Amino acid sequence: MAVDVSPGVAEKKNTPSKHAAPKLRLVNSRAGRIGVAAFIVFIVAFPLNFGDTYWLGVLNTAGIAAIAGIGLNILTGYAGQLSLGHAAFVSIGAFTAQYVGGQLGMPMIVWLPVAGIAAAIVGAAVAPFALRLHGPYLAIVSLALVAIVIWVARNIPSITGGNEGTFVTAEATLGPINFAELTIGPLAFVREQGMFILIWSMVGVFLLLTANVMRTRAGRAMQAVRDHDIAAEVLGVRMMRTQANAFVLSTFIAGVAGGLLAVNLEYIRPDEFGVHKSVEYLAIIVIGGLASLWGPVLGALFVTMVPVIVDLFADSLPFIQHGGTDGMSTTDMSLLLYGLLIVIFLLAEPKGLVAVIRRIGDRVRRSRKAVAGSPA
Amino acid sequence: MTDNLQILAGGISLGCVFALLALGFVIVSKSTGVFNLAQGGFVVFGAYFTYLFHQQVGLPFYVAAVISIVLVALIAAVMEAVAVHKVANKNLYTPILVTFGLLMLMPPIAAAFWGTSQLTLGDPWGLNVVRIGEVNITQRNIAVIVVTLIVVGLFGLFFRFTRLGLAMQATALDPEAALAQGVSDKLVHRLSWAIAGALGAFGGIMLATAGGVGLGPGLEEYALLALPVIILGGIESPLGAVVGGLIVGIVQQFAVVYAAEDFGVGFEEVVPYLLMIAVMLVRPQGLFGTRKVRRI
Repeated sequence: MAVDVSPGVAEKKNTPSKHAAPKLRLVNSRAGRIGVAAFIVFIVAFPLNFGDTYWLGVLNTAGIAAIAGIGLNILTGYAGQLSLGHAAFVSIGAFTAQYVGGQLGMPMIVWLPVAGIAAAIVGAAVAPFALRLHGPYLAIVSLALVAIVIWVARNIPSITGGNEGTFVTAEATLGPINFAELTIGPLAFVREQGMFILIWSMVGVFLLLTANVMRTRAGRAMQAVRDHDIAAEVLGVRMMRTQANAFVLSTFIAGVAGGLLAVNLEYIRPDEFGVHKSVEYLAIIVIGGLASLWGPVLGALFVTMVPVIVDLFADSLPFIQHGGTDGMSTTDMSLLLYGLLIVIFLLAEPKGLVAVIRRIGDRVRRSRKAVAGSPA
Repeated sequence: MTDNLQILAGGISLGCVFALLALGFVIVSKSTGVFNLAQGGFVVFGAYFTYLFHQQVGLPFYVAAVISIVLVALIAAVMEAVAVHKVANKNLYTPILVTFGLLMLMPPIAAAFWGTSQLTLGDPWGLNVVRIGEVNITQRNIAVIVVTLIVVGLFGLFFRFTRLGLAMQATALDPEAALAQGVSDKLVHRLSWAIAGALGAFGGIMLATAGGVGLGPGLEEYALLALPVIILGGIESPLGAVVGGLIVGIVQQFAVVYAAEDFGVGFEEVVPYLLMIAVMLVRPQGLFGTRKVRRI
């Protein structure tokens, strides 16, 4: 696996000294490398052997939400800036992707990064204003951003299709590979299978990126500012620059997520990127686990499953509409469950699903050890 | 000139509704330090409970309104006790997220009981038009303005002259010192949530009867319109909430009329936010807010 990007020279120079810098490797443990390899094998092998397009579609939606969540997690989880404006950046990415990839007809190698860069430019433009603010102030100003971006998107119909939105004609092709119509030799695959590989490999890329950025000086500075901004500043962390870094990185990832969202949905509308979308992303990182690497992925899977499961069990769940009877729509039921879950998680397990899984793992390990240790 | 006065009158009435909604946010944030997004849910419950007691049970409007205000106040206090008190002083975003969760689960509950169609509370304030000089004002606009003035006045008196009001101010200033003086922080927090609930319910009733909004899904989003107002006025300043509400209401009303085509569709919806951002650039703590001094 080509996950080790450090040049050989750097390793030779790395003489053991008191202040030996950690090796510059993307993955710095054997377990990590095996994990990365397993992840790559899994995201290619799984969709090719799993033909259920409905569930693959659900997983694709979850994957895109996970990427957006990874972005928001950098800003809110690691850098401690509560943002309700994430959907705005996702929408900028989505419409840019369609403009560059669809209207200008560029290949994916161009439109996907450009979607991220467009969002990051807006993020960089907003950051200096946002960073004057703290806590609830930032949350509300970022809410304003959602309203303003929707208003702008409605009023530039040549790019966004105005109120009605636009079909997405950007193509998910990388060189000879077209992810929407994937063929390997004589085998042709359905759209969902190809998109799964594309989306989840991007999830992998951004997980690797986040894990590594958080080990660098810039990443640690973000966490220091989150934990105590004044103390961090006294210790020589440039607060403005650190938080602006978090903002730009977070919005870049949001833009890429938006680009993928556009090709996956094939149809986008300005109103789709409202406050509810921002809330969904926030729910994802809170339920998954703030400032944890895998939190956004777990949270996204969980949050995407809630409406699906509500739909699946709609007949047997109480309070839900059946035909013409009074009751809740499944959308309302999902909203209610989100709300309830956010409250329950924050009260009972502020560290989210990641901590729940870790605790279960610990218990299993301990009980196994107990079994092994006890005389048979 | 008459036209402008007419728009101004409409703006003041709209601004009064904003001010009522904003006051609910301000009181919780002033006395407990929590930024309470669940306020939007209180608005929904207040309006629907009034519908329940007025249209479905058949009580007179004023009785129904008072009952639902009290009910929502109770619900708010219970919410504080069950969900929020534990995390109130934890860090910045946990309480915001908890109240966000509470906000999300309230409108679906209302939708489950009352459906998603547009309902009406009738026209309890009357529909007649009153002429003052050259300006026509509807009775419901007058009702909104008068009621807001009364509520804000009572608010001021409560904080200034009652023991509980002073206790709440003390808790806001210095929670530990207030505790040492025998002020129960639980009581103060619950009371401030109850007052916020009552204000929210009241704002919801006003929105549904006089705001020209009616009673239907999405009412909680109107409560969120108060957010730029709070930031504009300063998050912990009741006076700021009132002045901010009036400014936003008046500017928005003028924007509806004057900023017609050039600014694109839906410009009036963005106006409060643009106004807020403009103020934030100059005064990050809001018009009437105080700059936070922090100890390291």
